[in-house]
Amino acid sequence: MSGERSGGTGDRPRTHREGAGATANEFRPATEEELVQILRRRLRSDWPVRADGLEVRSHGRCRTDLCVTVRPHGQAHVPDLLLGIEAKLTDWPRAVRQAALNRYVVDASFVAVPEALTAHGLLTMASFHGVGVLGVSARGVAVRLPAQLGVPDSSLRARALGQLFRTKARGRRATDELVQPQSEISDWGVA
Amino acid sequence: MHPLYGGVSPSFHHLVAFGNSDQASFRDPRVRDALDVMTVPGTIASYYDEATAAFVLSSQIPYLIDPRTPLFQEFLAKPRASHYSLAAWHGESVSAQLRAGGELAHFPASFFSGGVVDQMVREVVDRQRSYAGNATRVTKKLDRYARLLAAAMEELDVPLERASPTSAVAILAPYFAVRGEGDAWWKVMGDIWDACARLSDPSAISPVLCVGEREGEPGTRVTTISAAAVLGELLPQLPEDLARTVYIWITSFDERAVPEEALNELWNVIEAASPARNVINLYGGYFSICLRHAGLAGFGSGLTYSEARAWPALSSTGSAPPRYYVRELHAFMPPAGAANLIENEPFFACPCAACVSLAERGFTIASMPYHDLKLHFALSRQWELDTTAMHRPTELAAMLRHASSRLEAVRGRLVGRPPGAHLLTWANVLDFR
Repeated sequence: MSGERSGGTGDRPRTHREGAGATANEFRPATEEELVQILRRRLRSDWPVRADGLEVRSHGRCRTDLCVTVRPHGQAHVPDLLLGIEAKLTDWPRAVRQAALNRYVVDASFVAVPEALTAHGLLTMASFHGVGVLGVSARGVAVRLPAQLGVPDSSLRARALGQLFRTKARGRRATDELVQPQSEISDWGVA
Repeated sequence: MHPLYGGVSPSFHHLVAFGNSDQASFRDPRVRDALDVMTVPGTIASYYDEATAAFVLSSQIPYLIDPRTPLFQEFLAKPRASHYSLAAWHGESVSAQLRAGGELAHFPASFFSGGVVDQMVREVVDRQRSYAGNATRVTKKLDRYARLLAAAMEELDVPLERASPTSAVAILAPYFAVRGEGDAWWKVMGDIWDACARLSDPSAISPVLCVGEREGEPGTRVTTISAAAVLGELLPQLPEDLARTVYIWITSFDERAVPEEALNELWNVIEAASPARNVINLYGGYFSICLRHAGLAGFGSGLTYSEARAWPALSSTGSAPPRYYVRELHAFMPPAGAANLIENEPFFACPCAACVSLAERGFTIASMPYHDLKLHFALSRQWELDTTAMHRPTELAAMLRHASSRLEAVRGRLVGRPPGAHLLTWANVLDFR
């Protein structure tokens, strides 16, 4: 599976002494804010992002690190998808819990972590809650697990949309990579 | 034994604290039906003087004012404007001491000498006794609030005729937190009650007993004397010449977090005190409602907040965060977390008007508006009051165990971590009552 780590590293980030492929995995932003900014730039450049916003008021007193709208690939007359992303440098279980609750707000919810963290434990937990996983590295953003398309609360969704700023859609990657409908849920993470 | 109430007195008083963000809630007839008395913090009554008087006196809700005297106990750092206005309610000596302290005022027990106490007691009692008289100087605001109330009631087809402002239903003596008979503040409390007894109609003035835990005696194996034990020591020593109703505040007593022994201890203390006294817990939750079976006469909280209160954290205030009360758990959760719980276990869904209306409009609890969260809480409280009145403690214990088992069956599927340990703890206490 594309998200699995080999060599028994589990969830521990590799060091630069750990062999081939390690270079991409050395990518470690200094702060979560830096991770979010890198993520935002790469999403805008790679996918047809039409609006985005940082620290978006989502539910209760919570704020989602980054929300974006993307135009569904090849579907001009279908509403944009609203995606929510919780970014974490290390505490991915917390990110997954936050992202799981964001499913009440957005069409598809993600966690974004440095690529080195995208190991079995994270993918299993995320899959269980219908949350997608984005691995961020020096090479870009990889979709390690697509998110389940959900049915958010309409008033929360509208409130989140109202906080985003329009941007010119530049990227060409298919949004199909990012989401999977409920009927196509894979058995990823089932023992 | 009344068949409906199973022998429990129906006159169990539900007090709800007033906050500035609660005005719309207190105008809602469904919330009003769920409470008996509105408690007004002295800080709000003194600082938002005219607006609070106009609201309270036009509300047609029985009310009392909590003097919040512990604000002036020991140290008060960076006093706010509301602290200065409350100090004025406690007499010129307290006001002057606050002004003199600047950024860090100090009120040791020794400050409260005979003269200072007399002045404080006179001022605090007089402010409460004369509160209804404020109506004449706030007529314009009072009329406006009265119109808002009438409109809110009419919206829900509940006619309400305008009525004259009424006096407070209880007068509370000033009070301080105490840890036992050996505490210097216990002597100050004695002086306060003596001063109350010298006023006219002292039997209408209620003592307030605010207790905290203390360290055990050196050389003994007991490291801490619990706050409930301190309450048990001091309740029998209340003065006879003041009102029979006593208001209590057990500092930092979170009913969901304290161990079973502490809950049993509190039950025993209330049971022992209740024939002689009407004991009302100023800060409590569902367990306090169950304490009606021990003889507790009432309890209070805010709308979705203040089921427990620490001292000296009294100076920190602000509006409560939005929280959803899961009535079968008797606990709060973030709205989205509650939505997730109910999705996974519909047993926890609430049939109240607020929740049903939200679902009918196609929304989830995750987006429940602030006022609706408060309405839902009030309706849940009413359900808790009705349920505890109609069932014996062992039956209430069975309900708690059932809720616990439903929660544990789905816990592994949930996103959040709903509180649930308290259910079995409470059930254990109720099982033997």
